[in-house]
Amino acid sequence: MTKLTSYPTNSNRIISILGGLCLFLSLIEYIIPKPIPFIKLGIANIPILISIVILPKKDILKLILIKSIGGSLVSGNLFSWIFLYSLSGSLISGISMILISILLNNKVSMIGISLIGSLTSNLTQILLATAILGPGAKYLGVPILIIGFISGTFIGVLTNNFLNKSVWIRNFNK
Amino acid sequence: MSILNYVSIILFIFIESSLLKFLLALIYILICKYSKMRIKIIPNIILLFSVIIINLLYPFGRVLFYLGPLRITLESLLSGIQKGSLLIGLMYLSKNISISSIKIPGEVGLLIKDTFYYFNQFTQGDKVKFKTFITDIDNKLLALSNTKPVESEIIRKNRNNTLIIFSTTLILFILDLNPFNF
Repeated sequence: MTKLTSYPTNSNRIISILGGLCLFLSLIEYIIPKPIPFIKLGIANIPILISIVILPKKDILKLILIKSIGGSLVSGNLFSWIFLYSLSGSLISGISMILISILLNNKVSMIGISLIGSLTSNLTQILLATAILGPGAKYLGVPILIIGFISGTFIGVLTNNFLNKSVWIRNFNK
Repeated sequence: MSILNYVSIILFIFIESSLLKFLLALIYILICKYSKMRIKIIPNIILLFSVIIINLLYPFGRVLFYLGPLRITLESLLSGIQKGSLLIGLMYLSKNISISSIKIPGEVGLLIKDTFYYFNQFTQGDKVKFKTFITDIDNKLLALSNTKPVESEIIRKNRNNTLIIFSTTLILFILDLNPFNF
C-alpha cells in the first residue's frame, strides 16, 4: 500500500476535494439503474479509501460525514431511513478501516481494508434493518454479504490501481 | 439568505412529478444563463437522453409502444426524465451554491460549501469514461489541485439568484403537492 512521508498541511482543502469527488461518483452511480434496489457498487467509497492513505485519521471521519450528507442530497435520500442506514454503515466501516490500518499498518493491502469496510458496513446495515423491520430482515444478510464481498474486492482493486498510477497522489510526496 | 439554497435543493429533490422536475431544471439553466454564466446546452441534452435510454432498457409499467425488440414503457420513460432532470437540476443548483456567499458557521459549513464547489468542478470539463476511469479521475484531481473556491465579484453579481431560485422551487413544489386537486 502507498504510504506518504507526511500528511498535507491543507487537510480541509483535501477533504473538500475528496468530498466533491464522492458526490461526483455518487452521481455516476445514481445514473446506473439498479436491478435490485439499494444494491450498489459503492464507487463513491473510493475517495474514503484514498483518504486513509493521504489524510490524518480524524479527518477521515469528517470526510465520511460530508460524503454521507452530500451523497444523500445527490440521491435524494436525506431525511429518510436510507440516510440513517448510509450514515451508520459509513461511520462504522470508516472506524473499522481506520483501526485496521492503524493496527496492521503496512501488513494489510487496500483490498483488505476495502473488504473490511464493505463487510462491516453491510453488517451494520443488516443489524439496523433487523432492529427496525423485524427479525425477517436477517434473511437478507447472506446475499447482501456476498454482494458486499464482491463489490468490496472490486473497489479495493480499483483504489489500489488508482493509488499506484495516480500522479495526484505522487505529488503529495514531493 | 444562503440557507435558502439548501432549502431549494431539498424541495427540488422531493418534487415527485417528472414533468415539474424537468421544468424546474430548465428554469435553473435559464437563471444561470440570465446571470451570464457559461452554459453548454448540448451536453445537458446528451446527458438527459442518455439517462432516459438507460432507464428504458429496464422496462416496467404501461407499454407505450415497441421499438424493435424493446418495450417502451411509460414508467421507465418518466423515471428516466425524473432522474435526468434531477441530475441536471442539481448541477445548476450546486453551481449557484458554489458562487454564493454561504455563511454557515463553523468548519463543517465551510467544508460543505467547498465540497459543492469542487463537485461542480468535477461535473465540468472532460467526461469520465469506463475504460480510462483512473486516468480521467486523476486528471480532474490534478486540474483541481491549483484551484480554490471562488469568492468576490462573481458572488456579488449572482447573489440575487438565491431568492429567484428559492421562490420558483417553492411554487413548483407546492404545485407538485397538488393542493387544488387538478
